[in-house]
Amino acid sequence: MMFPQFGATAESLSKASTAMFRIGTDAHLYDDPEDVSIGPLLDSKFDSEKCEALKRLLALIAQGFDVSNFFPQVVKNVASQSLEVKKLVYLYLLHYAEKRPNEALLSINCFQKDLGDTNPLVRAWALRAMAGIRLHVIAPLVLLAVQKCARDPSVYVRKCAANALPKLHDLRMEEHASAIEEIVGLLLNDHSPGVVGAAASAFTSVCPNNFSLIGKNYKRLCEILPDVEEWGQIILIGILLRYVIARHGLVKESVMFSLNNNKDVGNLEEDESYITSIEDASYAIDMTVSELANMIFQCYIEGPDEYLSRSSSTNRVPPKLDVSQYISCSNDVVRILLQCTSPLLWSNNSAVVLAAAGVHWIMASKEHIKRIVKPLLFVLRSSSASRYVVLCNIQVFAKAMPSLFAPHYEDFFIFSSDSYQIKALKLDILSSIATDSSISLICKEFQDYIRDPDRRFSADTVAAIGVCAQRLPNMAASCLEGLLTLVRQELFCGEVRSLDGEESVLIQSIISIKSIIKLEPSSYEKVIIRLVRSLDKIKVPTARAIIIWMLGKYCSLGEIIPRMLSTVLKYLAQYFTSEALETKLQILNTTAKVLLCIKGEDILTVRKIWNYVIELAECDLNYDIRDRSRFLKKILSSNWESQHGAGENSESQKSDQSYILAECLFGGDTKAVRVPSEPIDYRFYLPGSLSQLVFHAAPGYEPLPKPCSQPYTDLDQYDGAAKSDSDEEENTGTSGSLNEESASDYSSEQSITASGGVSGSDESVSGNKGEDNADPLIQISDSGNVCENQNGGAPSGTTGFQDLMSTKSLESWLDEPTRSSKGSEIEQSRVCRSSARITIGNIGSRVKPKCYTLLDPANGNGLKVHYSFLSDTSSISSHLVCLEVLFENCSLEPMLDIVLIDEDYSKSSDSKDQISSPAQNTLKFHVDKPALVSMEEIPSLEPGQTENRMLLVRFHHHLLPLKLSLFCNDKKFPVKLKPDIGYFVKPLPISIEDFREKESHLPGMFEYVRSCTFTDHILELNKGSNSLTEDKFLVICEKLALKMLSNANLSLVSVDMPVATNLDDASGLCLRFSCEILSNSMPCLITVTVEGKCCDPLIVSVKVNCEETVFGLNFLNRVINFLVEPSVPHL
Amino acid sequence: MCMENGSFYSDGVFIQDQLDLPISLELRWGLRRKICGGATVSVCSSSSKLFVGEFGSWYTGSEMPVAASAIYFLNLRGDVLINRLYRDDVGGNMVDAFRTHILQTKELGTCPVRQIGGCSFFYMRISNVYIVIVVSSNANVACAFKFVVEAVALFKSYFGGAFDEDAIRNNFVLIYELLDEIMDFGYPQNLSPEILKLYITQEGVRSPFSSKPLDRPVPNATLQVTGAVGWRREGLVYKKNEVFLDIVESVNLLMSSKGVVLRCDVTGKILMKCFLSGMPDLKLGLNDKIGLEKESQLKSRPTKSGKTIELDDVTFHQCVNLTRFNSEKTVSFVPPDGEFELMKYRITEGVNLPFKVLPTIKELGRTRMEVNVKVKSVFGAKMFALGVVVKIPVPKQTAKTSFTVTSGRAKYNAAIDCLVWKIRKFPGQTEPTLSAEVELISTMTEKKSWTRPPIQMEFQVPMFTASGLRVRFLKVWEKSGYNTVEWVRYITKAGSYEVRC
Repeated sequence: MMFPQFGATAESLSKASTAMFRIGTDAHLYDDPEDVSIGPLLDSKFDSEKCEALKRLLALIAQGFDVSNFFPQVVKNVASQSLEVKKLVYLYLLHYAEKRPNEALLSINCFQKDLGDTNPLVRAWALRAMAGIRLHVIAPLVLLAVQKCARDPSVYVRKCAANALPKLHDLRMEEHASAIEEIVGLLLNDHSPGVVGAAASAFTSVCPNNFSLIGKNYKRLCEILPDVEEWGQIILIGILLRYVIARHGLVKESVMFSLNNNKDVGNLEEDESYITSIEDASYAIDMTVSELANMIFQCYIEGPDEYLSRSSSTNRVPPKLDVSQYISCSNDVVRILLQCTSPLLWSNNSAVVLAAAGVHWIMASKEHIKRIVKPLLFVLRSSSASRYVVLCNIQVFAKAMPSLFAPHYEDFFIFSSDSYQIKALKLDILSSIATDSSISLICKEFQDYIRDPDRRFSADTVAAIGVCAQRLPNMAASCLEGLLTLVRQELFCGEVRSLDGEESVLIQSIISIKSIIKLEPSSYEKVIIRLVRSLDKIKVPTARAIIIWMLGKYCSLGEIIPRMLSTVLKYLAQYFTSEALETKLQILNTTAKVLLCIKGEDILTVRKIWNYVIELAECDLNYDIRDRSRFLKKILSSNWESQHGAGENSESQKSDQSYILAECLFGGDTKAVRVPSEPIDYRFYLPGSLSQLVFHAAPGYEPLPKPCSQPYTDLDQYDGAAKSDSDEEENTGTSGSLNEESASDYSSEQSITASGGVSGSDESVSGNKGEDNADPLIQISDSGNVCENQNGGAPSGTTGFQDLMSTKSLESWLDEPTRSSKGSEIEQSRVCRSSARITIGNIGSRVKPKCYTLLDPANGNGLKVHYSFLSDTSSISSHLVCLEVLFENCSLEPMLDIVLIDEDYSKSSDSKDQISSPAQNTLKFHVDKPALVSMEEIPSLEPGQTENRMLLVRFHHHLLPLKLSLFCNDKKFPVKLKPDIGYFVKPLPISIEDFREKESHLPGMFEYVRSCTFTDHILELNKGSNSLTEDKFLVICEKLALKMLSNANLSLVSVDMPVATNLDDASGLCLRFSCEILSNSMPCLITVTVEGKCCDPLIVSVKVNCEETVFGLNFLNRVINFLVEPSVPHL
Repeated sequence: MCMENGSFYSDGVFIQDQLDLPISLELRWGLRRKICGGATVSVCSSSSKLFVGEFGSWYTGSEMPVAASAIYFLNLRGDVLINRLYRDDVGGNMVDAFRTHILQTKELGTCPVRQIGGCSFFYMRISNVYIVIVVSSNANVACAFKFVVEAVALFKSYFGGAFDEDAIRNNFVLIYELLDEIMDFGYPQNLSPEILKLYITQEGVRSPFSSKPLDRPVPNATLQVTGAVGWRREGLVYKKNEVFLDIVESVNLLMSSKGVVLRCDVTGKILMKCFLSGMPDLKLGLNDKIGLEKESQLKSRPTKSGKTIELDDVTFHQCVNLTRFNSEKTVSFVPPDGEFELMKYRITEGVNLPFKVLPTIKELGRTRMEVNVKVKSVFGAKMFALGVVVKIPVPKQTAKTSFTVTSGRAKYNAAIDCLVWKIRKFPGQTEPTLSAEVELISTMTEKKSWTRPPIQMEFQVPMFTASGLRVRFLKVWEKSGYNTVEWVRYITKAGSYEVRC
């Protein structure tokens, strides 16, 4: 021990004294871990020595040294009886297990032994350490251990088991996924709240979408919620919220709904009046509040990236959320959730409060949502970091629903101790919740803030004043006055200062003034003049640029401004060379604008100035300015000339054009263009998430599930056995009889994808027509059979009833866990509802392609031409689409020489020789040009006679109509052939397994989903007198398949039928189609899933997996289009 | 700046603004964005896009982890004191990124959430230690911060008060063990010190100043937590059953120079220390309005006269039965053993301000200032305040000061640019004054008028509550029916007590 000498400084004295105090602590281990040799200590007989060695190792780890070379020696000690040694060994082991997997395996036996210890602590620690090692090799062992511990009598051990699940899942043990999920289910069912909390976190990482686990326990989970540990509460709240939305949909009375349906906002007095006041004023805030809120909620459901890409790409109309996707908040499910989360608003844990507030925000009705306000404000008292997080979330709430926080504006007043971040957030919230009654007080506060020494903050305050003035037009005038005073002050003080950031206040105040003036320029003429007069004093380039811009923008406003223009421009021109870049550019612009609109005697002066400025600019050092000046000169000089020589017509047209261009550039209204570019800045994520704080989707972020995306089965009272039994009987009954009747001709037509030759398929279709009425449509089989049938293998005529209903399929019907059969195990876990797979029989014969009109008899002198797309593919080139064109002579005269040719082609050459040789043509065509390949001429068509022709067209993915010329009787009729993307593909017959496999290779950005409603079946179901014998599902299935196959060239892969407890609920019906893009043979997979009641319009969600993004999206849109179209009886 | 020359056209649409409108700093929705990124609006929006692309590819969104990947304890220089990696999805060099991108830049202390290279850092500074949580995916930020706060409280309870670099070094083994227990695979676990004592083998090293010995039960072979109450273990026995109840309030005030109260509220907390045997059930009665009304309804008895308090913002410790509070408005709970914070509340109406401050500050020309401050104590004459400090701001260029005070001592503190006036014991109903003359150095650079930050006050007033809250009863019920001794204390402190001048 070194004691300070006389000359010792105070510092060394204090060092020494702390050293004194630290005698007997672990500090000496930390400071000099290698003081003694660790190896022998580890082999010591005494626990205390082992402990010391281990502590030294830990200290070395903490300081970043690699001590993995001690691994074998340390692992040996895992068998120690001392809890302290055990724990220290575990800590060491977890740190190095991955680096030294082989040695880590040595410890496994010890863990196994410890798992059987009588002390629950030992069991729990052993499990935790074992799971923490996270080596793939031992994963199955850990799984077994977890399975055992999940049923342990000790709560602590069960909790550790729950905590081990995410670690196991993280090892990506796909083969054990179902076993892990089973344990999650078991632990969620635990009676101890502590275990449930841990199980909830396991659920979110293992199987966040397996809502059937939640459904079973929903009510109990809600009730146990207040007793769960705080951290578990946060996660559990999130799960319950997702569950309710996925299963039951959104709440009708919530903010979300009322803002989505703008007509329905009547019950929302405060907000409504507020919104209308904004709209009436029609001022320049880019979005009304309701639009913003609407967008926020769309973002919650879709995720902002998806939402924004959709809104920016085509139309901004959101997909209408169907009314059926909403439930009332008086619904039990919602009521329980809200009831159980609302006490949590008083929780001491700010994160819990935030989570509970989030649920209310999304689910609660308008009246109840007010509950969240005070708790949220109260949480603002916690640590500064939490305060920041809460404010970020309040900011979104306040933007979407200002009325919520408007009365509490005082809570957002700024304290001098707030960090800059918090100050800025508070400012933003204040400026968005200010109302006419509170604004005067808020403005008083703002005046104080402007004096803040932090200039960045004062600049923000100035900006906030600008925003307030825009939101509340009544305040605009007084705000403007204040800002002008500020500008004057800043000018006064600013002369001496040249510090960085000092000018930002000035710039910001001029920007704010500009935005206020924009609201109503005519009444602020004097302000503009004042600003322009102060140009002399304002030295900051940005500020100058803005003022100069304003001069140009409002140069024809009022009476005084036009008169002062020439003087001001003279002044500007004089100092042009000494200006900064941005100012120079604005001087150029402004001069151009003035030149365009000036009238009267000043025009000559302005022109002189113009010439002077342009000359200067053309010699400027900066290329931007040189470019700008040349551009402006070009555009404006012609305009000028035209004014000079008004008489000369030859010049005038050209100069007119550039004049209009110039007008567009400088005279137009700027507002219209800005709006669409704006939303990119807005990204909204679920309240409380990291993503909401950083404004982009952090990895792992998931938006809310699609409302009602999970088929609703009433699992709360799931007593299914009896019901599904009867179901099963009924279904097998029908299918069995159908099979027996029809057994003869399955093989080729049951998969509609008969891809034979052109004529052959024609024949077979027609051949079937006679007898297909009696044919069964549906064949039920399990997956193995489907595969067989699809491949056109053995005709299933021999397949009897018993064969079809194998034990395996029976089990799958009953939704019993088929533990014995490993193959179906994974599938079982994936499909949460039971379903039987069927193949639709010879539906192909009933598929009638849709007919389009090419030429009306009225326009075509009595010639009627229809066309329809054929499902065949051309033998010449895979790029060609086959069409059948039907000519009919409706006139009384015979027609001669009817032929269809490509318009472009007919322009370039009239000779018909070339057209008639298709092979040559295909070679000559530009690759990307749609073109017609061939058409055999019809020499003559008698009255009343019809004639068919095949047409091969190369659209090459052009979705624009193809212009063709139809010649008849030497007359030319221009016609348009509309392409149908549904026929740019050819059927790709594959098995369901292949389908699955292909689908799994096309995830993420290659997957597109849209939903729509489908109504075709209603008519059939309503008129169906034989509704008792007929299965509604089959009707829906048939109609849906018909619709798909009649409109696109697809191959039906499989049909999954729901085995519902409720016969009316068609949810879960799933059809899979496959096809291949003609041009590049890429597969394109379509999955159609049905939701809803049989007799109501169904919600059909269509998923397309396709590697070619553009094609896939277009294809999806096309499918949705024709699904929505009501069916027309076939011609 | 939106004035790039080249881009007149964008998607075939003529965008006039591109050429025309010099907007750069307009305050929009994006205010926060601007700040987070540090530089300018345009830079940030593009960078956020960039991130989206970066993440979108490798995370398909099937997983939804909400957990911390690692936790670091750094000292002010940025050296790692202790770290614990919970998941292997962040590299070890992440802490270097934190050091270079946050610690060594001006950004420190502005925004507690930062993103660097696909990882998010949540950090807090506690005394001379940074606690950094690294997260690689979408996480609940509020939860992470709350965890840090709670963890620090836990460490403090183990170390006996201080949490700083030395305390970490002294107790690093314990911290390692605690970190293993309070967070599992990045998910926060039970942080209740009482329960944790059952699992922890290491002893905390108390700082030598706290004399209280540590009465730590040895981890026992059979675990006694039934799970019924996650925060209390069974089988506790005390010879003397005692409950200590402290009501601690802090007054936040902002007053204008003319004495008008601009805003004022009281945030209070009720701290408890329970040394009770068995599994007691406690019920607390306060003189709050709703509770009293509810009680009078239940017992059909008119409300007693006297002051009632409107408690509308309340949060409770997890042990309080919230459902019962929701329905009956009574605070009933099974307390954890030892010390805990039972509830927090806030009151905005009818606050009794303990002090009034009347400042007059005159600037006499460029080089002289006259400061007169009168502080008036408004509470009862028998009470007294302790540790009163009044901080009167003066300009930076203060050269010389001279004081006359009627009570206490005053001096000029150049580090915080304030005149600091300290009065150790301040009786009620008195009004001491300070008058000072300040001489300033005349400088050319600081011509701008002085911004005059507010006067700040610190104080403690024992046995006084600014809200008027009183404990009416504290009932303890336990199977064995033992007698308990209850102790109640009140104290009011200054929160941010500011007076503009």
